[in-house]
Amino acid sequence: MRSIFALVLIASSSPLFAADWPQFKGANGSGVSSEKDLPVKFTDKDGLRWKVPLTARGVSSPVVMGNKVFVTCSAGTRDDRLQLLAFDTATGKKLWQRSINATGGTTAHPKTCMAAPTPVADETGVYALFATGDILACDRDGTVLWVRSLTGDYPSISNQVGMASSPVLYKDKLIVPMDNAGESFLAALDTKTGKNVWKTERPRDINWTTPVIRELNSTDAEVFYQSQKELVAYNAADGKKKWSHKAGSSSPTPTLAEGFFLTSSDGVSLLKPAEDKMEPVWKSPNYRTGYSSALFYDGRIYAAIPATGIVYSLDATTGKAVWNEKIPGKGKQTFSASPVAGDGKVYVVTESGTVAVFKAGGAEAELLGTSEVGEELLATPAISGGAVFIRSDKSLICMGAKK
Amino acid sequence: MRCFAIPFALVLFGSAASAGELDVPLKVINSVGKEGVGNAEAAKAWAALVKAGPEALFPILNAIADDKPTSANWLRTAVDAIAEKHVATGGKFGPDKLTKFVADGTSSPTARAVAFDLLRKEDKDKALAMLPGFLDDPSVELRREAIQAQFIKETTLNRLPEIPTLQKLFAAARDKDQVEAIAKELKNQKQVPDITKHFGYITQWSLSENFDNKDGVGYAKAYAPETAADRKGWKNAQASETYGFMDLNAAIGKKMNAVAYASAIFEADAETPAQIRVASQNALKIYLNGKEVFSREEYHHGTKMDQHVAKVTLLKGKNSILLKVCQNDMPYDWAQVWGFAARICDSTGGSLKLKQLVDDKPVSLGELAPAATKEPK
Repeated sequence: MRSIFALVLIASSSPLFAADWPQFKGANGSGVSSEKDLPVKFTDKDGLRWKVPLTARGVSSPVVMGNKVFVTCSAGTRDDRLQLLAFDTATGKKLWQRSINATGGTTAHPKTCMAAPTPVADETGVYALFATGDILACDRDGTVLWVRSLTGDYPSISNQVGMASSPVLYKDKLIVPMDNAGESFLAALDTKTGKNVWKTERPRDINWTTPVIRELNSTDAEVFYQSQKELVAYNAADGKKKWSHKAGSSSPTPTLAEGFFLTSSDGVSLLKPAEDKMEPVWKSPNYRTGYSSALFYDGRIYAAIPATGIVYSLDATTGKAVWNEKIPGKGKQTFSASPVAGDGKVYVVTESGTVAVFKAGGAEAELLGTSEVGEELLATPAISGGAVFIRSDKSLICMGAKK
Repeated sequence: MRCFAIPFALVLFGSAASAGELDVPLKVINSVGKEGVGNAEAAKAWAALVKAGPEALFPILNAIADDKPTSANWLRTAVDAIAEKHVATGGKFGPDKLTKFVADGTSSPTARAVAFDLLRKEDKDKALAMLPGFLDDPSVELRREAIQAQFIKETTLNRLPEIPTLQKLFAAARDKDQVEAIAKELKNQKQVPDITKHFGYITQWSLSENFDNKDGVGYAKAYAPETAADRKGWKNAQASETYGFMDLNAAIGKKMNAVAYASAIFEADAETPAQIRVASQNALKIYLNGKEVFSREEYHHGTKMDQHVAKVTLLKGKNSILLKVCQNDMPYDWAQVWGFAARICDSTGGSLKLKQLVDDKPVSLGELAPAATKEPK
């Protein structure tokens, strides 16, 4: 265990500000924020810092760096107008928008769209991958750093269901997951130029998971990329496959948190990463989270089950349920977004527009507050600067005290 | 790159840029290659263009080329950055200049649509006044707006929509939702709009026997239809659905792990740029005159109209289209579909005036099987 805790300490020593939420499910995809004094509910009159209309639909999540929140949208009759937008976190004022046209196909299941992958940001800029295989890289003021068309470069790339895996950053590399029905790969692109640093071939199969970085020390790291067949650890420096583990998931994204690897496929499983393998800890097959990824927070696992609309809190040491609670609201409640947490609170959003906040831990469920957005919520919220950023199919909402 | 160095530096660090100085960064951006080649230089060029401000707008719009989509995206974002800054300080690009650019149908459809958006923000009335002129526009975005505006106007008057106006809009429409909405209004007035012919669906095919595709091997294997023009023993089949779906399960027989070929012969009066657009749940290859022009090895991940597009040039005279449609062995109900819908059209999606030959006899393009027409599933 000692070695694992050492790894966790290293993994958490990134140069991010505490308030930043730089990628899908926050810092290294943990879904956890160190923020304090987070809100539990809002109405139009109270607890709403701002709400602004978005230019078009998207199921990608907002990301926050410093005083800017970034969002992607896809517009047009053919869903081929791709947009990256920046807003001021304090006021919701739109700061800039950059638009490109899709260079790849736009066929997708109607639930998703071309703005499905979540952008990733750091101090150098914001990097937006779209489901068309287009990548737009800008600095935080909207200056374009580079543009890539992956379908232009590798024309067989295709996922007619719609791609949604999000890129992540490791030092000066943008790690791009590109599992699909055509030429499939995991690639590291130079954040300065967009050129390939390495590109590792992957099996041709569609997949929606986002890679996870495990920092081994100050210079070495592994990129975990999970698909339906296995979880593979790649060397972040050169993209070479190091080892693999038979733990399949093509939709919920795994999480590396509190020294463990949490994966949601055919139920929730907890694994313990070792030097060159994963050691199973427990598996709870009853908790099927669909598109939503389970959350590891403060000794508990939180799983939102779309089939029932129930949120479970499991004991992280055993996988046994401590409490469960059905999300209140009109009609059937279900989930696409993943739960996130901070300040001792767990945030869950439902597809029909309910934002529910639970007290983390406890012997019984304690619902601290619910709010109704009245719009479809498929995107996972972001937590930053004492606020929760919620993206609906129409709006970007900042839940928190006004500034 | 060396020849660009001096003028490029002038643009970067100089004051107001002349049109000639902008040529260099525009050329740099239009030279970006695959896999990020030229991106570092393009980033500097992008900054130079944005620094040049509103003076760079029309040179940028003129430089956008739709056959260079990555470069066009670089340039598209430069317009965003320039416009954002210019408009924030109360600046205008000039409605007359924008109108002139948009009206020039020879410019890139992408660039004209971008310019139209700028015009709409500067002078909405002037932009709206242009719409009637876009009914037959090469930009599908501008065309769509023009049709939408006229259709709404025509259908919200205190009288029945005029049939000639609806027919004109139907002929101009390229998007499925607009075509169906206009067709509905025409049907309300006892008219018979033909959606299948409107879109130029190929409804009559010559079909091969089936070939093996166990473990997906047939997709890559060149069976006889790919190497020989002989179609002896093939059978003719005709689609019966509005959107031209050719059900191979019905036409050939229910098969799994199978490959089938579908052939159609056309005559073009002249060499003609065209697009072969196909919708299919199955792995697919498209051949024109014996040459592979498109391939996609993907099974049962969804379908929509025109999801696969092959940009081709038809020869003057006879042209042969061959589709290779592969079925796998997935057991699910939703994976039993084996078929396709294909059409030939221009770059806007409008049907082309082509003669199809079936058994060497000319037939009408888009003719559905008699008395079997049914709405798409």
